[in-house]
Amino acid sequence: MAESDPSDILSWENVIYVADFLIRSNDHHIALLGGEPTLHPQFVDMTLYLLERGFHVTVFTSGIMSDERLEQLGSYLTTLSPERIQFVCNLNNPDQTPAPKGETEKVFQFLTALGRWTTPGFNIYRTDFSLDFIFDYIARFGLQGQIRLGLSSPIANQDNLYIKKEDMKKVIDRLYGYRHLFEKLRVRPSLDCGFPLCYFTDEQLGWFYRMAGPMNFGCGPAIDIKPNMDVYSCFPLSNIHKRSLFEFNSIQEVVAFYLDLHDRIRQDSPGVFEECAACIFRKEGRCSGGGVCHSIEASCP
Amino acid sequence: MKRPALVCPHVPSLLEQMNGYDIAVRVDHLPDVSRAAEDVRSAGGVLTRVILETDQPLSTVPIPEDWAGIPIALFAPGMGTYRDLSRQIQRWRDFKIHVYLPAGNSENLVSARILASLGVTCCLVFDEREPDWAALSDLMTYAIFGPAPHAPVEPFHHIAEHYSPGTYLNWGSLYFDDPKEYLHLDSRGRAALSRRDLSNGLFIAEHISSINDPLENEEYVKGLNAWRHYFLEDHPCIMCEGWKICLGRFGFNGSHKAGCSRFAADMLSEIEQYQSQRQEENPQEKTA
Repeated sequence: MAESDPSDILSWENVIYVADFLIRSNDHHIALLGGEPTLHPQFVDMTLYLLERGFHVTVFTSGIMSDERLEQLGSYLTTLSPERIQFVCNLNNPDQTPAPKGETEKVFQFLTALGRWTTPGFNIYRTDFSLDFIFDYIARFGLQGQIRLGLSSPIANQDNLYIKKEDMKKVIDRLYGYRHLFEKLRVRPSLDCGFPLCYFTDEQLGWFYRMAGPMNFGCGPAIDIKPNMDVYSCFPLSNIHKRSLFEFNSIQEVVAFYLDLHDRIRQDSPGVFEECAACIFRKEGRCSGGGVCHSIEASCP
Repeated sequence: MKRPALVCPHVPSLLEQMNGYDIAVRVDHLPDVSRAAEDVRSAGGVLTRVILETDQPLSTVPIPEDWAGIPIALFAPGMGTYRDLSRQIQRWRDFKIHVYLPAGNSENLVSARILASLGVTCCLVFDEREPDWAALSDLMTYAIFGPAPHAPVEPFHHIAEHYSPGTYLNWGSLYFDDPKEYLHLDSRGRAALSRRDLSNGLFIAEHISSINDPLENEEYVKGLNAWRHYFLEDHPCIMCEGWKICLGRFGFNGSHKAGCSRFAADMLSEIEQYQSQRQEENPQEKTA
């Protein structure tokens, strides 16, 4: 569930509606994202509620929050197993993306209190990124042994920093360059959507498989629901083809709607590269040819 | 006619005289609940509810293990924070506790939905404060048509299940306020038709033992149809589309407001839709 405008706040009625909707759809996982979801005045209450309804909850956070909120998280959520609730803390490299000192301290306080429940997340938006600091944090704060790696994607109808298709190979090579640290510290790389299969060498694929198991090179709808119950396919497509959750009877219907939309977009622009059109792996469904957001970007000069 | 249950104060010497009666016993303090239930049972009464009014929010009410199995009607001003309530949510759900919350506080309309969605039966109390009719209407739709399993939200569930187009529906028994179902006793055993009459000293018998057949008691028979005074007074409520399912109960303090009228009419229409859907799904089933 996503929130972008601070005045656009999720109500209890809508939380209950979404919970009912997902349960009816036999879907028992929910991710809370933002904005910053912990800013919601009833964040702890709503999270406990969703847990009570039987959901596994993942919270995407910057880790920056008031002392009071952190204390609430500490007293109400740390009694729960990490199997039931997990935080993904999106971290920035303090050297490459310096933050004010106060913010860094806040993140450290969060990681100190909730490290056992936290998977570090890192959004790659430049080719010279560095992951060393994350390995350091994992050891220092006892974080979960996995790094969730997202590829910054173009957002439809918006200017933003993202990895251009011609730079993807550099990103993959640089990631692979960290293999010794991943292996030594037994940390699993977890790749988000948007990585094209053909940019990995067989050696790289073998190594990723050994470290993290089967990889997914697909790009499907990762349905986001806004506080006002608008839905969209995923964050990069948040500015287009919005619908209301009330138009659908199940999450499967929402996914089917956006899969159809993806298919229609792919008809004009099958993938990130020209070669995607004839690619056997794309036809067999093992690779989507990068994210559909790249296809939109390619078709909009 | 089934003998009405008795709403009694928790006075052991009184309860001992009520052998064989259905008893709803009223207690003043949280720690008295299990003792009162035990006193009713040991005196040979059939416990229907322990009634407790507290000024504490639910989240601060401790629920001891020995409340298990005791039917409790707990009147509280509000839910409090969910995060605190959640520590005992399993007991709220698994024990036989019905929660009563004032409908005039909009937060309680949200709380009722939260609690019901977690399996806790809730009942809204229509008191002197006017509810937010739009929010109430939304809750009523959830209570009747909510697609995921949830506990009843009263009075909506009761009305939807028991409404019959050919007759009036009195749902006062949800609040122990229907002489057909409940008579109210004071500590001396004097009987009144309602809690209000009890407070005002209006008794229909000097001792409950003097009432063998309630229908032979003139005051009792009058009380059964008390709602008829609306007709005698030519009250605007009687012209309301929703009268048959309201009998003046939504119009707080007996007054008539456009808000309640619209609400009751909407509710009637939703209930008719609900019953017709249910009949389509189960053609064998007859409406109430």
